[in-house]
Amino acid sequence: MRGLLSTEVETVGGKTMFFDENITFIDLEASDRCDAIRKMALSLYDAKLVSETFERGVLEREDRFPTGLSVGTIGIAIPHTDADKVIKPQIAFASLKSPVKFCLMGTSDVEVDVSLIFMLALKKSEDQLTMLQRLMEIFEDQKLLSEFAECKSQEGLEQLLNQAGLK
Amino acid sequence: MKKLLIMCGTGVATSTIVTGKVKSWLEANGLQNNVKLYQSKISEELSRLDDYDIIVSTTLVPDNVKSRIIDGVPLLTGMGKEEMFEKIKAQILA
Repeated sequence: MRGLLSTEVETVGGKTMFFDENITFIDLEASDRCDAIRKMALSLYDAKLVSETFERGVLEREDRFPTGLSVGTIGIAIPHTDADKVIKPQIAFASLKSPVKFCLMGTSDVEVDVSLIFMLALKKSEDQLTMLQRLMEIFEDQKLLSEFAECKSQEGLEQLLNQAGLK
Repeated sequence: MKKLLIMCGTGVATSTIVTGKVKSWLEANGLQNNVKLYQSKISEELSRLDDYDIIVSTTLVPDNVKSRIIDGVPLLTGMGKEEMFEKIKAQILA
């Protein structure tokens, strides 16, 4: 199928709440990126937000198309997979107790130490653009990212998500 | 009108963000009528890259096409985005 025409890629004031199921981990302990991905994907699956093929999809995709991003001193990753493995759109968040290595997006061998993971369970629809753009605004805000990395409580995390316009 | 393809691994997440940002940038620079945007996933596009005038990718592309692809990652992190927009602009006006 041909890609969308520009006129079809519109920003809509989407009200879909991507963090409403509270799939969040503070100081997640993970031995490597696969372990972190598995734990987060399992949590999305347990909440019936994704199909059982989601985890494998994310792991395979991460190998072929890495999602690590380096923002100043902070490494983040946005693992995700195809929309057909998603039941209800959601974003799972984890701050890691110790960073794990992801490959940088657009490379096959450059690694980055990741301490924040936003796992995206997305469907292909226009209303997720607003939310994704807000998420990216966080990524461009070094100070806010540090606050996410340093946040140690569920309440604090809620506040940060609110502040970022994500909740 | 130039055809500008924005692609990523799944055609869902990062290409959506980059498409949104490129669209806003085109409008801010009065270039929206010079370009038609397409968003897709790399696996669907590799065989027909010649259909497009300008290609932005957030994901790794095969070496044989590398030279004509603009790296879209700067639009995700904000780092180096001005240089990236200059590259797109140069190709739109070429």
